[in-house]
Amino acid sequence: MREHFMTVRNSAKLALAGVIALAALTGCATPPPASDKEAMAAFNEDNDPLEPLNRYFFEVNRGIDHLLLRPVSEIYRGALPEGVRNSVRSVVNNLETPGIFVHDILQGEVERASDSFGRFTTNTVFGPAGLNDIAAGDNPKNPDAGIPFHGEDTGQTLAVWGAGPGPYLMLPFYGPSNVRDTLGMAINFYINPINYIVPNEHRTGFATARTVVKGIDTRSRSIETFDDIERGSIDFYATVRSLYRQYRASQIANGRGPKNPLPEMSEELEEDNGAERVSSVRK
Amino acid sequence: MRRRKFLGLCALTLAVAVSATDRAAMAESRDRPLLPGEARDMVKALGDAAVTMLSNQQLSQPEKTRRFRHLLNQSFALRGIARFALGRYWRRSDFAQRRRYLVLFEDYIVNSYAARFGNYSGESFIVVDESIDQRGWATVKTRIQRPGGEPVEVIWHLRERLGAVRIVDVVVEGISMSLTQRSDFAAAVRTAGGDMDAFLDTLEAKVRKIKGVAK
Repeated sequence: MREHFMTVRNSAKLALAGVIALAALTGCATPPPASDKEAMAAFNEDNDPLEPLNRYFFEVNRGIDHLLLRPVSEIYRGALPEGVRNSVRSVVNNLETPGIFVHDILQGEVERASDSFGRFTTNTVFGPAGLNDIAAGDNPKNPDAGIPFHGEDTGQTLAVWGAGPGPYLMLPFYGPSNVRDTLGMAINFYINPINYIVPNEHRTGFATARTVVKGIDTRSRSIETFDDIERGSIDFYATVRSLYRQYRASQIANGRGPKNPLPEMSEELEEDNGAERVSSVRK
Repeated sequence: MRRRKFLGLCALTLAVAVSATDRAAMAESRDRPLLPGEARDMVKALGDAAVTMLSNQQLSQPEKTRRFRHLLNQSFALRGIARFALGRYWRRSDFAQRRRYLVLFEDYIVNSYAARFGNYSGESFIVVDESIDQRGWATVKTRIQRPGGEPVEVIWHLRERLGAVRIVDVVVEGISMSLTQRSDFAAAVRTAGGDMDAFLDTLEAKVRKIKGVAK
């Protein structure tokens, strides 16, 4: 098993070296001329200096998704009834909850920490073993009853502590990320206490299995959504980049995001529209 | 000669007067804060109309699309959203390009959503609450409840402009539809080398493609 670790570590090193070499080959995104202030602002907003390399891995990931992840997710969804799939998700979420609890504490979120604690104990004991999400108390008549699941991870904690996201990254296999969240992903393994209850030699396997199962379950629940997004977007890569950024910002804010997410939109909407009454809106 | 000058002066005065009242009216309407319940009622009416339309199995797809286009024009600040989505490239476009873009944008939005009508499976629409900020802009929080699924939180942003209350953005689970659209279009225009006409051709081709799916 130790040997297995070594090979994992070595192949990780090799992959890293490969990525660096590829980055050198494909080059970086060319910044616009400094005189064009608007273009420069847009370039900084994208925060994607490795765009050519990221686009390359985006296509690689789409290939993997097409050949492997999506078909497996479809089989998973087709073969297992909804109740079973909900149990799968519930078990995986329950195993992540001790780690989420630690992050709630690290972020100073007392109420959410108590939610996580309550969810873990309730679902572990009465679930049982997390097989049913009793704590969420899913009731279509009253969705506010019970405590719904919430996620947390090291990337979010680092953000709460003031770390910026750093450049956008498209990771092979894992998908969209950024420097902070990639670092967080590496650290997260050490933070979840659940990883320490299994013997040392099974720890990586245990964590990997959870990631894989969670990945398949999540993908199986978003097949149509992603098809819609892909069909609707002109630049799918840029759309996913925007979605990831907004999704993370919303996760970090724990639902207390800014009231108006579009401060700069006011300007566009306030501008005098009278000059361009060419709308097709008018019949 | 004098007469002509006089007429010219008259026209000028008239133009100034008209534009001044126009502007005054606009400034007035621009600042009107939303009244409590106004936005909420509008979103509720829109949601109910959408659910009625989607769950009506007698309606054909083209008829649904037609009704959806009507709802969209009635409730959304479509032109404002279109301009926002194009960002800085709007200012760089000429009149003909803007005109073509606005028509394409509406078609693009209508057909993107029309292609999803088939996905409707008895979702219900619940208005949770409404809040009005110090600028008088409203946000309405709603929940779309899928039978047997997890609820999806949707927040609607509304504003009053030129005498009409309109939706300016829809935020689904923390993701702004307007902002996402803007990122997509910005990248697409850049890919087209900043050439507006090339971008509009791409958009037109996209609309045609989506229309094919929606049918």
